[in-house]
Amino acid sequence: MLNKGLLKIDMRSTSMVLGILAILLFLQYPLRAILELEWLRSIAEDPLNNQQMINSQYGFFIEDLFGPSAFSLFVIATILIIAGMLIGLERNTRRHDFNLSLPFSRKEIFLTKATLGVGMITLLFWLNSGLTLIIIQFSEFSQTLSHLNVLDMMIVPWLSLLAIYMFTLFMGTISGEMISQIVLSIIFLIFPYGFTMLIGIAFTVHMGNMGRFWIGMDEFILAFTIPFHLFTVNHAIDHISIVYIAVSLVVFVLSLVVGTFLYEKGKSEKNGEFLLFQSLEPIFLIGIVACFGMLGGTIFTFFIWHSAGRF
Amino acid sequence: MIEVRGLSKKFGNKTVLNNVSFSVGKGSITGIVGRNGAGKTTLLRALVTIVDPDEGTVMINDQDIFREPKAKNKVMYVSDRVEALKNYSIQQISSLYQDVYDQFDEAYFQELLERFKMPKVKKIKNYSKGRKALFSLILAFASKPEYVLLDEPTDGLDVIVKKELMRFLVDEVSKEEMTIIIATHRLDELETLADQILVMKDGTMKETFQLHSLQEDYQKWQVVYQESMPEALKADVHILNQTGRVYSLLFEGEQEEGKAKIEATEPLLYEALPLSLEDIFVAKLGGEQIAE
Repeated sequence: MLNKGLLKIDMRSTSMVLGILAILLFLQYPLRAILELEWLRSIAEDPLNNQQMINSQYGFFIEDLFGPSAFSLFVIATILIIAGMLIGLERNTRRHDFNLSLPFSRKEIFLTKATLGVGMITLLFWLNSGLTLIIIQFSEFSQTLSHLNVLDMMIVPWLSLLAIYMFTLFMGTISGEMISQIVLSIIFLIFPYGFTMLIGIAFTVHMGNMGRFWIGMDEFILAFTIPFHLFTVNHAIDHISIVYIAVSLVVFVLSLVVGTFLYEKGKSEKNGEFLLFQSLEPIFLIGIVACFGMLGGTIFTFFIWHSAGRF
Repeated sequence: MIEVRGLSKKFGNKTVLNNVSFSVGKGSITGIVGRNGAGKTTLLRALVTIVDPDEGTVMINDQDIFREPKAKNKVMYVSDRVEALKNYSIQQISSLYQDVYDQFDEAYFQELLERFKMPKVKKIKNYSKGRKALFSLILAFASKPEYVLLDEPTDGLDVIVKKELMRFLVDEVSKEEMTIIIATHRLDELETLADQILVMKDGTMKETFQLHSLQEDYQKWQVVYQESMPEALKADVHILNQTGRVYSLLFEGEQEEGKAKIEATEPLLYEALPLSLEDIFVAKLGGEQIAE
C-alpha cells in the first residue's frame, strides 16, 4: 500500500528534524543512563554511604531515567514540528500540489505520513530505551532494573508520543499552514486541563466554593491531557496508567481515522489560510474569545487578589 | 483520451470553472487559451486532482481519476513542479520518479540530459529558470506519459530556450503517440504547434477551433471606402481595426462569399490579408479580453 517514492519525499523533507529527534532521545535515555551510572558508582564507592542508603538510590535512578524530564518537552516540540513539516509546511510550499498530482490517492499520501512518523518515533524510542536497558543490564547495577515499571515508564510515554504525533497530523488536516497547525495542536493538547482550570477559576471567583468541584480530579483530568502523561510517574489514583493508555489509543485511532477522512476532503485552494474549512471558523472564534476572556479574567483576578494580600 | 465532463468549481463566491466539458484525443496538441484568471490553470490542476471540482469529473482512458488516482500514472502535469524538488539532485529526482512512475525510462532521461547539455548541478535549484523549465520537460517525457499538461511553459524564458523547448515538444509528439495540452496566453506560439484550440473566458469554454480548418472558415480583409463602411455589411463581419476609412475585417464563411459581399459595398480598394489566431480571438471574444 505504501509507495517508496512517497516515503522518500516525506523522509527527505523531515530528515533533519528526525535526526534531532534521534539525538534528543539518545540524550534522554542512553547518554543519561551512562552519566547516572557514573553517579551511582560514585555513591557506591563513597565509604561514608551505607548499603541501605545506596539501595534507596536504585529506585530513584530508574525513576529519574525513565520518568519526567525536560528532554520530554523538547521531544514533544520536535514531534509537533515533524508533523507540522509533513502537512502544514507542505501546504505552504509547492510540495502539496506536487504530491497531489502524483498517481496516488490522498488517503495513501496521508497514511504514508502517518506511517513514517509512527514508524520513526517507535523505532527511535525503543532503540534508545532498549539500548539504555542493555547498558544498565551489563553494568554492575543491573539489579536496579527490578524498579522498572514497563507499563508506566515505557508503554505510557511511547503511546503518548504517538498520540501527540497523530493528533498534530490530524490538526494539519483542518489547518491551512504550519504555524496554525502547531498552535492549534498545542492548544487542543492541553485543552482538557487548561479549560477545566479556567472554568474552575471562573466559578471560584463568581460562585465561591462551587468552583472547587474540580479539586481532587486533577489527575483524572490530566489523564485526558496527553502531554502530561510524559511528566508523571507516581500516580495518586491506582491503575490510572490504563486510563492514560486508553486515552492515547483513542486519540491515536480517532486522529488517524478522522484525519484520513479530512485530508481527502481538504481543498488545496485554501492552503495558506488559518483554517481549511470555513464552517469551523465560528466555532473557533467563539472558543478563542471565550477562553481568552476567561484567561484574562484569571490573570486579572490573581492581580486583584495579590494586591488585596489574599496570597 | 482525456474527457472532461461538466467541470465546475467555485473559489468562495467566484466561479472559476463553469460546466467545462471537452475531450482531447491521442496524439494531438491542444492549446487552452484565455486571459489571466480565465480558469486555465485551475482546469489543468483539476485534470490531475490538485483541485477538487464541485461538480463534474475527468476521465482518462475511461477511468475516473477522482475514483482511480492510479490513472494519473499516464499524465504528467508540468508547471513549476521542479520547484517542489528544488533541493534534490538530478540523481535523487531520477530515483524518485522511478519509484513513482513504473514506466520511467532512466536511459532516455540520461540521453535527454546529454542532448540538451544540461549541466551537472548539486541541486536543481542551481539551474536558471530556463534550465529548470527544460529539466521539467525532460523529466516529464522520460516518464513516458500518454498525456502531458503544460502550464505556461514558456513564461519568462528567453527566445533561444523557448525555441529549444518548442522543438523538443514537436519532436516528442511526432515520435510517440502523445497528447499535449498547453495552457497559455501566447497565441503566437500555439499557431505553429497546436491542432486544436480551446478558448476560455470567465471559467467557461467559449469556443473550440480546429487549426487546420481555420483558413477555410475565416478570412481577413483590408478594405478602404470612399467615406465609411456601409451599415449593411457590419452585420456580416467583425471589425478588427479601423483607421480612418481603412478597415480590417474578419469574415466567417467561404472566401468567395466574403469577397462577393465586400464587392457589393463598392469599396475603393480591398485585399485579403494573412489570418492569425489573434485576429479570431479579437473578433470573437472582444479584443483586449483575449488577445494580448
